[in-house]
Amino acid sequence: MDRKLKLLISDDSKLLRKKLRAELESLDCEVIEAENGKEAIMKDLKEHPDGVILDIVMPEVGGIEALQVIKEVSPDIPVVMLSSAGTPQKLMQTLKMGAMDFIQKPYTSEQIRKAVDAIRKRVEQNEQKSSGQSNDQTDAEK
Amino acid sequence: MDILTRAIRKDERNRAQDDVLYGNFMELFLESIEDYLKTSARLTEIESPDESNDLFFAASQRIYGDVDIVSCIFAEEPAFIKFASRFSDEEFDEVDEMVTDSVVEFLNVVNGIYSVQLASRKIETELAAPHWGRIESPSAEPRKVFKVSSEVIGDFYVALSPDEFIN
Repeated sequence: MDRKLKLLISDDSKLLRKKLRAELESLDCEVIEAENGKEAIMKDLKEHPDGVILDIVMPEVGGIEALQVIKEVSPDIPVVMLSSAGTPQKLMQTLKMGAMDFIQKPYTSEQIRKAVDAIRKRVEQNEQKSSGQSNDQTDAEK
Repeated sequence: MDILTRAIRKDERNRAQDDVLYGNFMELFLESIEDYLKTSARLTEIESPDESNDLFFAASQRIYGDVDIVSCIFAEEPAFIKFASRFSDEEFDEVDEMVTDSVVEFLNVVNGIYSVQLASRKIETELAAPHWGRIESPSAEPRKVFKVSSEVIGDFYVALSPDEFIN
């Protein structure tokens, strides 16, 4: 992938966003921030990030509701849940809803690095898939 | 199913079950102080906190579902700032959004792990969004209050109750 990965992080904690932004920027990612689920949905629509890192327990609109809307709008977007609420029930629920991974807080740098690698791989696969579809369409038109 | 789980699921929770729930929570809390704040601390159960000239800074979060537990960390400004500094690895001079966020996030992490521990005993819970505020003294009843003494942070307090401490 030649360009920077554009990631949306959504967490109500300014501290966590600051720390996570530093981690992601050190991994050559461009970072967009959202303070809650509602803002995450709006920024997903407006900014078209490559991937989303989403907290669950947030005021106004929580991460579960935000995940549902984001996956409806952008079904292929990789979403990683990053939350303290890592019960097996929440894990299963979010994976069933289309989340790619679930990281229990507090995270480690290694977990974030692996998540970014997985998001990058998924984005590359999606881009290859859409590029293949567009080539097929061009061939059909010929 | 252990005695505690069975009693909670039958809605027979009483002081004895609260003691077990709170005891388990405080055990985890002390481990988390060691793991994430890299310091040890001593715990004393008290009736109420020492007199303070000013309101305490407090962070609070509710776990709800099969059980209801509100946990609250509160301290005078110097200890609150040192606690936040230690967790976030940042330097602070006064209580600001980053300081309150740090203490709130620590509590959120501890409650998240506690919620997972409860889930392993088939006690299903959810976490409410944590928040912070200023309190004179923990007012919720019934409650348990612990004084936590750390050489690095100073003295601070943890209060536990089924009801909210910060209004």
